[in-house]
Amino acid sequence: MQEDSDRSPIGDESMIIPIRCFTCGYPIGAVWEEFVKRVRAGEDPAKVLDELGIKRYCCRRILISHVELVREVMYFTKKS
Amino acid sequence: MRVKVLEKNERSIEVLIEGISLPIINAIRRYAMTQVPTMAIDEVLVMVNTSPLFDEILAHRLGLIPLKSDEALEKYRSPEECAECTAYARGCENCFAYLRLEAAAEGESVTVYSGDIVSDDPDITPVYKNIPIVTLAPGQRLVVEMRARLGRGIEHIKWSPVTVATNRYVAKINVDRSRCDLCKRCIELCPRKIFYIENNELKVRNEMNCILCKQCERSCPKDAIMLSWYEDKYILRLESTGVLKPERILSESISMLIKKLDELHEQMNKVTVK
Repeated sequence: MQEDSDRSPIGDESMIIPIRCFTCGYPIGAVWEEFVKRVRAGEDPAKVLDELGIKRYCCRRILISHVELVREVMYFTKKS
Repeated sequence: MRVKVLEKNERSIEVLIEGISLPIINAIRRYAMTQVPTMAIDEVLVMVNTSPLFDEILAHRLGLIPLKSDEALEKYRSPEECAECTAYARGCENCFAYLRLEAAAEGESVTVYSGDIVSDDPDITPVYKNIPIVTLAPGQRLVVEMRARLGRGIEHIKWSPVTVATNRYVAKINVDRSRCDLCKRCIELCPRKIFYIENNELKVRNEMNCILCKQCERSCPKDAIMLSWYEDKYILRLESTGVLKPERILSESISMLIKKLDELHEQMNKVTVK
């Protein structure tokens, strides 16, 4: 059902990226796609986060540990 | 009183304030977090939602999306005025901005972004266009109408214009050069790399960066370092979520505080005159 390339290689579990950091409220959702793209391309996550301006560890832990489960769950909704 | 801007960019502002007491600076900081009004989506009318997220979660996510509020402060009425607005139920145009989000996935899955939100008011748009809201599998559809209004952080954090708002002390670092034997222990331990040696003397640079951890004072075998802080010098730092410019947040929070105090002053005058 799902190609392996669609999965996040950086850890795996939570539904969809939170819009804001749970702790400080920084809109981390805005950097998620670029973060994933660059990390998948083989860049060092720490370096990518620095360059994206994510300074605090509260925001960093969310991006680093996030898993896009929504891509797997989305096929199991009620039929309309 | 002296004010010096230490750092200013699109997202944050850091000012050094001399000659005001800490409680006042703290009041400004708290007003920035809880009282400065901003725009945020408050009501969501879900027409069609066959996406994997529940309506409530979807609405919550939409509410958290930062909306540009620079023009909104003059254009829309304050939350207090709106609460009394008789047209509230119908949705008065001086109180609400209307937004719409429509998306459908046909052949393949689609990610819906904050940039897909269509706003009736060109001044009220999402600050970031690339926040993923939901992912739709083939055949799923989403039609949502939204109302945004001015609100304050004290009501819900989605209206708070700042992510981080802090004030801190400025360090006063005294090195007794007659005692110092240049053992370099403080240089190694200082997390902010404040000490350095020049011409066989221990010197201090960027005192502002000191976080007052006192590692240097504790580690010094000769008790040559004395760490304290200035009584009337503070650093105030505000970091915006992007809805307002950081300097605007600072000036709004100050004027809001002044307005509240004026009100109090007026009331007190009335009471005491009687």
